[in-house]
Order: sequence, then structure tokens, then C-alpha cells
Amino acid sequence: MAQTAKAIYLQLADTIMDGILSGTYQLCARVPSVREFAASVEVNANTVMRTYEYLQQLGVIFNKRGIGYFVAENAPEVILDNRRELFFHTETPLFFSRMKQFGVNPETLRQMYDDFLNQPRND
Amino acid sequence: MIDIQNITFAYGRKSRPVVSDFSLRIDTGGIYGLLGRNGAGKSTLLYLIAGLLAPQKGSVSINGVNTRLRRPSTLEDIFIVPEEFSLPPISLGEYLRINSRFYPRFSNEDMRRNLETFELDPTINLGSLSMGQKKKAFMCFALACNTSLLLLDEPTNGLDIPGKSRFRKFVVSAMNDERTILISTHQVRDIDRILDHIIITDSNRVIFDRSVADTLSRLQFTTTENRAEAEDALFAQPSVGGSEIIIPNFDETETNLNLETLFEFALKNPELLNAQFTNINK
Amino acid sequence: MNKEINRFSLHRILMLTGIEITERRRTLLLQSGMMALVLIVVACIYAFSNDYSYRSYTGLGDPGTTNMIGTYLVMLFIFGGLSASIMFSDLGNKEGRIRMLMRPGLAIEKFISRWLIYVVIFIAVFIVSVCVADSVRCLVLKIHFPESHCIIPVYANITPEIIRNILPFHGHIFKALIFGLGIYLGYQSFFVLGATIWPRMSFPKTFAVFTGLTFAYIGIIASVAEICSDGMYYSSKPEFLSHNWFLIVSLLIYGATLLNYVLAWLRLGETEVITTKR
Repeated sequence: MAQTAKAIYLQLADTIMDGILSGTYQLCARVPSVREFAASVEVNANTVMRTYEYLQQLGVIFNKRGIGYFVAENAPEVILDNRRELFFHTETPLFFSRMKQFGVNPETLRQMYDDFLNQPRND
Repeated sequence: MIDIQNITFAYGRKSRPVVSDFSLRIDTGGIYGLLGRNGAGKSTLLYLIAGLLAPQKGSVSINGVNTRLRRPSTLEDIFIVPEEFSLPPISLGEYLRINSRFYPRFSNEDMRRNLETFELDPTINLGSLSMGQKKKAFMCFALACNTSLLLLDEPTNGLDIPGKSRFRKFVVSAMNDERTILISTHQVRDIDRILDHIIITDSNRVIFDRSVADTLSRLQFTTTENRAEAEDALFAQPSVGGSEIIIPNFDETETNLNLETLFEFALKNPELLNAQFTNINK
Repeated sequence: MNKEINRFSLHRILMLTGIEITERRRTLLLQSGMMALVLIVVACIYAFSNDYSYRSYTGLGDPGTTNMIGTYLVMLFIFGGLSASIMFSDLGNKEGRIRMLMRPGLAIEKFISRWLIYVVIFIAVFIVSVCVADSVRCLVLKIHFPESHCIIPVYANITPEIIRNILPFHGHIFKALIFGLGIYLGYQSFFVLGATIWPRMSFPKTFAVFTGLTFAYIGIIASVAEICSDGMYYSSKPEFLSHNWFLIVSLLIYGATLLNYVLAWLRLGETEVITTKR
């Protein structure tokens, strides 16, 4: 079973999306230009361009011509939707196959989840 | 913009050629990495591009002009930062005053900004700098001249880790559509994320010449703990907890380029590597 | 648009000259200083090693003038050769060659800018140094012979009268000066050429080749002339300053100088950053 590192442009997209969720990049505010961001992460600007196009495609950021890229108003929802999609698409099949492999009962899982929700969380 | 056409070059009449019937097109607006072990003919290729050496056969042209003619119009659009160089024992200000006049697109503003990036004092005297500082200062000047072509020979040699990081930031932010930067180095890890195109040389031959995009569309880079997988792979390199492997990109998933592994693959088995780019899959 | 940049430019030559002078400021000052020092020492030594005495001399002018002029001329040839030999010393290593070759400019411009410094400006520096050296000589002599009235610096001999004698272009003195200048520049031009062929240790190499060639040349010409005139050659003396002879020989000498310069310029243009021999 191979562990594959995500393509770098996707890793950078994750970084920006994390930044939006955590508030580093404010909603409706300008994000760094392609070149600025590329310099800060020391990655080729063409790669960063793909990141920005990807995020634009998702609807996380939008481009105001001549001014720059801005965080979409509903970016957090878009991000969570997208990540939820990925979660169902990639992580859950893997989790389910392990469940099957170890013979884990869904009811046990339900109980563990409830316990998890009731625990005091250190966010 | 750089058109290398079927060049053959050897140092002596009986020596093995450094390049033989080699052709390459380098388009404007890219960061090219010229990778190879120490003494693998990388500097020679840079010198051939810059017109410092003349190929025995073939020609190198920049924007249609043969570089060997050494026309001033070509020279003021190329800047080479050699691996070793010396600076005259004068102040930076004087150096800029007398040298910048030869480069019509030189910008004082860029120079100032570049010096800031490397945290260099503008009032320094060039004669009293350490090797690393000299490299930084000269690179600041090189980029401020705004030539279309920038040739850097082992630019990270002599730089400490923060210096290498600043160098990467420096190069990435200096890139634009009108400029081409060619970085020649054996320290592959220093530049792996900033390249657009990879050229690998070994024993004075060019053995790999592809864009990063092309490479990632044909190959997948991944790690595995599974011995069988490693053996089945095109190439495997042992690492912490398993192997770093290269396999064909059969499902069109793009992975993260592992330049070091690619480099080792190219040196060990260039035929197999290049075969991945000529096969028509499926 | 492009063509203008690639055209010969006097302005660029001046810029190149400026770069060379500024970047090698320290070295040039040091070398000039050493030359002045050597001249001073030589002048003083020669002043004292002559057999007239300043105490008892009763003639006009400084008795040592002729000897000093001769000495200074020899020094001119020595230092002129040395100056030309270091004209391209920075091309002795790869870094220097890269720097010179990558500088935007035509090969001829780069050549002329160096020539301006190491041939033309050198002469001015040399003349100044000679004046200084001679002044020191006179000073030292004056200290030694305080009562003497005939200690006169060599440059004091350049009076308006002498200048009036030189000006007529057909005059003997003028012809001699042109001829002498030609000999000096011709001799020096071999060192200029040598500097482009051997950037390192240029002076001894050029000197060896030059001397060898000169002796070979003189030997061959003399032998041929001797044979052709059946042994009559040495008995006749050509009229030294006859118009035709002077014209032909001067043309030959200046022509040779120019040829050497052109060869040096072409050699400069063909410089490779790495020698590809062996």
C-alpha cells in the first residue's frame, strides 16, 4: 500500500483553505497575489497559479481583474462542502474496509462517536 | 527564445564530447533546472549558451541571434552568475554606478528591494565581503539588471540554510513572463519546488530533458513500505521506513515531484526513464 | 533599434575605460607608485655615477642632461613594455575572462579602452613620474653640492625656442621625434600582442620572442643585404634623414604597429573562457 504525497498545488490549496477557515484570510478580503504567495512558500509561481485556478473553480476565491484575488463570502461553507465530499470519497471507503477487516460493529462505532462528542474538547 | 540546435562540443580533439548533436528549446518565462553531479558538464552547457564557448558543430541562438557573435545587444540581455567570481575592492555604490550603465533595463528600485530581501547593507564595500555575502550581492545585481536570460551556476553553494530559503524566494518572485532563469546545480534539494523544467546531465551528456508538468503526467512519485511494490516499481530508493519509488502514472493522478529520486533514477537507468515518455500508454 | 547598440560607440569605450580605472584603482596606483619609485632611485644612482663633478663644471646647462635623457629613454622602453604586458592580465583566469567577455561591448571597444589606459595614459603617468624623479635627483644633488649652479632638471630644457624648432613638420627634429615615437610604439605593440596571447607572465615571454625575432630579422636582412651587394653594404651609409627613406621606414614601422594592434584585437575577440587545447 503506497502512501502518495498530494500534488503540491493541492497541498497549497489546503494551506489557503485552512487559512480561510482559521481566519488568517478574512472573508471578502484580498489574498496575496500569485507571486507573493509563491515567494512565501518558495514554490514556482506557475504551480501557485494552478492552486489559485483550482480554488477559483471550487468557488473559494474569485478574481477581480486588475486588483487581485479575494476570498468568497461563502468560502467556509464551500470549503467544508468540498472537504466533506473528499471525506466521503476517499477516507470513508478506506475506513470501512478496515472496519470490515477488523470486524468492527457499526453500533460500537456509534457509541464511540457519542463518547467523543461528549468529551470536553480542547480545540 | 534560446534555440540550441544540434550542438556538438568537446574540449579537445580526442576528448569525449560534452554534448553531441544536442538540441533544446528554452522558451521565455520559465525556471529551468540543469542538474548533474559535480563536474558533469553543467557549466560547459551554460558557457555554450552564453557564447563563452563555441560549439564545434551547431549553433546557439538567443532570439534569433547566434550567441557566439557576442553582439552587445545579446550580451546586455544575458547575465551569468558564475560559480566562482571576484568583485573589485570598491564600494557597492561605485560598482553599480559604473556597471549598471551597460544594462539598459537595470532598475535601482529592484536593486534596493533585492538587497533588502537578502538583508544586505547598501553601503558595503565589495572587497570586504565573505563568500556568501558576495554571492548574494552579485545575485542582487544580476536580477536588478532585468535581463531576459539569467544563468546561475551553483547559486546555493556557500549559502546557509536561511540564505538558500531567501534565494528561492528571490528567484520565485523575480520570475515573470519575459524572463528565463537557468539554474545549474548538483544540490537538487535546494531547488526542487521552484522549477518549471528539468534537464539532467551525467558524464558530460544530457540524459533527461522534460518539463515538470510532463514528468508529473507520466510518472507518479510515492513511498511504500511494501517490498514487492518497491521491486515492481520503475525505480526505488531506500528511505526512512521503506522506499521512495517511481511508478508510471496509470491513473492520471498527479503526485508531488520528488526531484532527488528522479535524479537518481536518471543517473542509474536513463533509458528506462526516457522510455516512459515515448510509450503511448493504454 | 538593435543595430544602434551593436554599432561602434565612443561613449561605450569611455565607459569601459572608466570601469577599468575604477575597479583596478588600487592596483594601478600601486603600480604607478612603484614605477615612480624605481625612476627616482635610478635617477639618483645615475646622477652620482658620472665622472664630471658638479663642483667644478664650468659649461652651460646641466652636464648630466644627455645621460639622464638616455637613461629615461631606456626606462621608457622597459616600463612601456611592462605596461603593455599587463594590459590583459585579468584574462589570466576563468573569472576574469567571463567578466570581460560578458560585458556588453564590441571586442574592438574593449581593446581600445585598455589601450587608452596602458599605452596613452601610461605615457602621461610616465612623463609625470620622470619629472618627479628628476626633481628628486636635482634636490639630492643640490644637497650634496650646495654651491653648484649647474643642477638643472631635464624638463627645464623644454623652452619655447626648442618647441619652435620642433614645429616645422619638415624639420629634422620633428622627423626624428616621429621616427622615435614610431620605434617606441612599434616595440610596445609587440607586447600588446603578447599580452593577448599570454595573459600570464606576458612580459618575459613576449620579450624572449620579440628579441629572438628581432635578432633573427636583423640577422637575415643583414646577411641578405650583404650577399646581394657583394660585401659592399657596410661601406655605404644611407642618408639617415633623406626624405624618401624616412617616409618609407616610418610607414613600415607605424604599419607594423597598427598590424600588431589589429592582431591583438582579433585575438581578444576570439578569447574562449576555457582553453580547449589538450
